[in-house]
Amino acid sequence: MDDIKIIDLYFARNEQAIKETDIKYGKLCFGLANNILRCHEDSEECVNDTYFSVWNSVPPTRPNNFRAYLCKIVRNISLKKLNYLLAAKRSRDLTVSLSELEEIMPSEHIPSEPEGKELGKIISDFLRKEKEDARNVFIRKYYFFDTIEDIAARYEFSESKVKNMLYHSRNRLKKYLAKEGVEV
Amino acid sequence: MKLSKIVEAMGYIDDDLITASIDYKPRRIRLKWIPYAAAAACAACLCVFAVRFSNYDPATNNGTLASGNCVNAGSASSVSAPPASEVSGNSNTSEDLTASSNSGDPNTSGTPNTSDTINSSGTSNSSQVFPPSTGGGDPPPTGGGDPPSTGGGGEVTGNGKPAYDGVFKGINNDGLTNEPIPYDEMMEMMNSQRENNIFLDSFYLVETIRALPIDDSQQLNGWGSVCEGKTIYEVRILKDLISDEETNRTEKILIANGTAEWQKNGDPVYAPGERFTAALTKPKEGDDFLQTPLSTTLRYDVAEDENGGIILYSRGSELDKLKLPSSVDISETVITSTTLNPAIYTQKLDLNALADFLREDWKKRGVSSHFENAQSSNSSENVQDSRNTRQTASTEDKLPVGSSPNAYLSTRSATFSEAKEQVKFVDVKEVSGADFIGYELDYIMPSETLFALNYVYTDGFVLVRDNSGDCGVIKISPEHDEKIERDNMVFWKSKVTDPHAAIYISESDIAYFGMFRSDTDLSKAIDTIKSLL
Repeated sequence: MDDIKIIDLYFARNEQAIKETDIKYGKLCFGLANNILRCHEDSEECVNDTYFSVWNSVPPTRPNNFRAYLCKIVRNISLKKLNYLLAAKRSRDLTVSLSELEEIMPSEHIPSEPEGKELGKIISDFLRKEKEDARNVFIRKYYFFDTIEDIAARYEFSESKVKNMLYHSRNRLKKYLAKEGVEV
Repeated sequence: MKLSKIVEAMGYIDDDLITASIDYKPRRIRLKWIPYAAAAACAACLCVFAVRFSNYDPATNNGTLASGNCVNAGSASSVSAPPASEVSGNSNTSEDLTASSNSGDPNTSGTPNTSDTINSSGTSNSSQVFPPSTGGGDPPPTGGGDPPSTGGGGEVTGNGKPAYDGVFKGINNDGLTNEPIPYDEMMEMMNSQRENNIFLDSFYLVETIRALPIDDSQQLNGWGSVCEGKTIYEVRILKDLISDEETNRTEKILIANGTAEWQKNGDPVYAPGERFTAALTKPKEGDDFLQTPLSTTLRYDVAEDENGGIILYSRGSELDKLKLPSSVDISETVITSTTLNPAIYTQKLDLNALADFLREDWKKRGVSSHFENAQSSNSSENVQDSRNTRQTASTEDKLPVGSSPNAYLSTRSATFSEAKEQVKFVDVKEVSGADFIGYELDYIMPSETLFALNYVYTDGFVLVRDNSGDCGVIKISPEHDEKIERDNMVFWKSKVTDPHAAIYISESDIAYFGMFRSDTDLSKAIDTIKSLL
């Protein structure tokens, strides 16, 4: 079913909308949540929370890009959940498995929305200027939290190439932000 | 930079970037020599490092390249090239240069190599530089097979400087592997270039008329991103060295030895009057210039010896040194068109010997314009198989309106309406659908080369990109594609490369691709295409 029809189902308050969303984007949402939480149960919970959030927000919102809309919601919910778990040290396994993510995980201090939006826009501009390969690798890493191995397998690159691309992208971003007068 | 903040802000990036990264699938050519390139790059770094050190002048503590008389570690001697009799043909590498220059005492560098002879004062002349051929200055040493100083004298500007001293900005070795590719591998690579409609023509002796300014080069048909950082020369083709026939025609040729401003180390841009050899491609329909396939390979500077014979000098070629009876490994640095980037010669060989060798070898291989008829039927079948692509029904080379390739030589994102305007696909309609990934519209240019590929996404964004070196030729063939007839129209489904796509080739040679996430219902793809027509 296409996105427009799914959204129409949400507008009609038809619960089939959630089923269709799950059929079409369940894997994507679960993958993103699981990349962040590394826990099957917690990830499923986040996906369910995402569907609930969509149910509550559509209508009145009519997303132009339903897939990206879902990704944003599941990412936010998963990150919040992660902060909650980390803050309370609720899962020893979780903290161990998150060692790789530790340096890039957002702090508990969530920036104000305008601040985040502004920076997001600058990063979007930066990414548009990047080469297609580098751009997508960067997004896979820092938006979807894919591991280096996953990215390498997905795009058929070597792991060292992926690491290299990320390293150079970060350096270019640093310079770009400095040029834009943004201190991060 | 705090990465955590960046990750937070990533939550606000544009939607199209997110979906694009989900759908993105890089298309790549697999080059089997790539794995060797890394090793070669390391070797190249060592070479560059060694050459730099060989030009290091401790007196001035200046590490820049010499711009005058000889510069070697510790001495400034200029000695003519050693006679061939002194040369054993044994190892003569930049390692030797490094050893002698680092030590500051050439006598400690071990056994003298082919050119690293020690003169009476105990100084080394492993790196030899002739005085620049300035207007009033002494002419460069000639005779005895000495390296050319600019062939035809280089071009000396009004201020007495060689041609490019005034514009030279620096060395840029980007894209240079300096991998010594074995000759056989080079020929295989040349053969693989047939997939891109690049065919070897012959081996020529040429003389530079001028190096085109970048602005002029960009106006030429065939110029693209792959030409960046290279120079197009207008040259006079003096002789076909394979057929041994003299010619006198003028061509434009692309050479990957940097630009006048940013040159490759040891491979300066040619000045007017300089002569060199080059393997050239056959003219490619639609292109205004010929290519020198495989970069620096088979490009040798030309000089005359005492007897009027022609001696060739290789500039640190990417081609592994050819082992011909007359070849001599050397290590010489010679100022040609700029004092700021002397040519570095690594091998000296006799033109006739090289031409004889190539003539015999190419005859066996059935390559070049002179010999390829012998094996053309076999090779064309091989090429067709290796392409594994589709054959267009149309053989007529005609351009759709507004299809100048230069308009599509970069990747850019545009809104649907902008792209529609830019690429002149005036009849294209935007399509949306649940499983719809996008469609591609490809210009099939003369010689059936693609120049533009457009993905149209459901959210109204179009990615316009050059794919001239990526996707090759779109060809339809019954053995690789399945024919689907619907409503008196012929569509194709690839059995191999795009099983999820239906393809339609219009009368104006535009390829329409309708692609969906799965191939469960190809009729949806066909319907999509039909809605575009």
